Amino acid sequence: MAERHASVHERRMTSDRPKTGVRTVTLVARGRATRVPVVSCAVLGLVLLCAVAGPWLAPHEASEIALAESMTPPFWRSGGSLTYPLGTDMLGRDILSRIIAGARVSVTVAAYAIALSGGLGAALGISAGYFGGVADALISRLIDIQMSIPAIPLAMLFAAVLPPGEGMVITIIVLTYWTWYARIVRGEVLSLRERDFITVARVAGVSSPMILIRHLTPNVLNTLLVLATLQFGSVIVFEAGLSFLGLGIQPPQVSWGGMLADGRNFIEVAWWLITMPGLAIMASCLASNLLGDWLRDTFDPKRRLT
Amino acid sequence: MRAYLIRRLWQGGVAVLGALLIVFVAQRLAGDPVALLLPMEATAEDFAAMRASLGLDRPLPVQFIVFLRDAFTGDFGDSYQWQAPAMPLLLERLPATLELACAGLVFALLLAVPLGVLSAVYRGRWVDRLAKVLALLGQAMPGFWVGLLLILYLAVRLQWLPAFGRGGPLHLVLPAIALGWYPVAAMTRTLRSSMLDILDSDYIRTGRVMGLPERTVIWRYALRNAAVPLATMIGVYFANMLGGAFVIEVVFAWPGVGRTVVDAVFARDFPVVQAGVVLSAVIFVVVNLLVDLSYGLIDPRIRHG
Repeated sequence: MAERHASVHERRMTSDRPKTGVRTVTLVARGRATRVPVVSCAVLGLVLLCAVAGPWLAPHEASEIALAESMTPPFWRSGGSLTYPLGTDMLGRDILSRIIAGARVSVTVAAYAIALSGGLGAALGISAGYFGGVADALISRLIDIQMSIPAIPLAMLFAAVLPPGEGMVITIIVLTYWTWYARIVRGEVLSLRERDFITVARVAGVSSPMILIRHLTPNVLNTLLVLATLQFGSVIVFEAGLSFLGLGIQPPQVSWGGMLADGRNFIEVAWWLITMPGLAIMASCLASNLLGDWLRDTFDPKRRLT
Repeated sequence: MRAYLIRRLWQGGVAVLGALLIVFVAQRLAGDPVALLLPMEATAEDFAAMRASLGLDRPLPVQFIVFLRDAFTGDFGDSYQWQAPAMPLLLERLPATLELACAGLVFALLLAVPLGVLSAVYRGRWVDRLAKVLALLGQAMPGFWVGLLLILYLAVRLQWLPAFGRGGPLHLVLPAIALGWYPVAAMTRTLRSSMLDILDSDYIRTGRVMGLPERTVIWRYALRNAAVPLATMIGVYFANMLGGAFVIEVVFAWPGVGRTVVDAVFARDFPVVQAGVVLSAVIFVVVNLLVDLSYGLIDPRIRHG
């Protein structure tokens, strides 16, 4: 821990402090900018709440069919009612309740995918960066290969092989995204490795696993947190894309991408079917990107000034 | 330069080989293709005969070598659905996909270049803020959803543009916007930050001091240098668009490679899926190689590096 504080302190010292005038401006800008993380956290909190407490929050059962109520528009349009605030689909299912149910799937997939790809990527990245040599060459080549295959065609390949469902979506995302973590963490560790506190630890006879766990990992945690936050939005879009194609989450499980695919067939009569789930995707992704960018700038004082 | 070229070619080759290995492993994981090919009433002897004729009774490394040999001649077997060789089937549809990706790239550049330049020149003003908002939306709105919204508003409601299929240039507009939507964000931001760096440099100041018109300074001198990082991104985004086209082609019923591969996944038409993945990887590697080689053309400083 001590090293970590030291390193942050050191970076602060070496970064050129702006002149007072500039500094006032930055502080004002930062005061305004604190709204961004608060709003982002609120949106993400809402999505998480829907994921955890969805069944208690939703006004209806997500798969409850009411044919008499089919194609009800949202409440502010004529013919709409507050019973179905965001309208209903062709089977009379409540859109709001389905969006809430979809949050659960999205968050579950994202949580597993982020934990697994982050863990795998960080482990490989730290090893490659610290040990160098053969390990680095092997892992770097693996990253190159992985990155030279475009993500979506690769997803098609796995979709054709694996049984569809949440497990498949998570597998595909992990296989696509681990390189994100591995590449960046490797780069960070390469520069950390040359720093004095690591050399001192090594000279003092600290074993390699101990250096990896106690000294390197805490120093890349900030980076991992930023990447994970940014990945959340990316994973939601990716999962929605797969489910939209019919290759991801399978009905009767509700997913935002699947809702868009259903709504596509009724695009001429019911605009809300393709609008509402898309807004949910956009809001979650926007919040995650804004929060991720804010975290990155906060952790790295140098970037704050640009 | 020559050593660099050789290294890049080698890396590209390794990457394609890796893609082929992944495809091969996936194929073996997919289970026994013989069961798909033979009728229900086939006997155990039929199975064994079929397996032998497909070479599936040989050891895995031998199978992989055979697979590689066939792959290099573009032979991924026959499509189960179409009863025709898989790769030619896709190559036939490649022009449609390339057309779409080029149109998407043109759309992205048409939006990103003016936005990036103006947001750097008028830093902090409304153009800059607009560019920022567009960049955020570009990342947060998935292309296929943008596509659906475009169909809803511009094709169904206003009936300005056709929504489905491939035809005249008008058919290209909506899918190109949907496909180019995402890269606009990153391209604008890259161009903005490199423009900011360059507008601050000595030679731009010299140009201004010597009385060159501001327009010439910005669009001829600054943009030319600021475009180098953008140019390096174009290849990556073009290659990514070929992948992104998979979803967009489905949304707009575009008869390209992507839609064919997605259909093949549903039909468990493995040869077509394999050929599609390998084709995408090869295009991706080749495009990136070409971009790397073109650095020297765009930026003479790199030629001697």
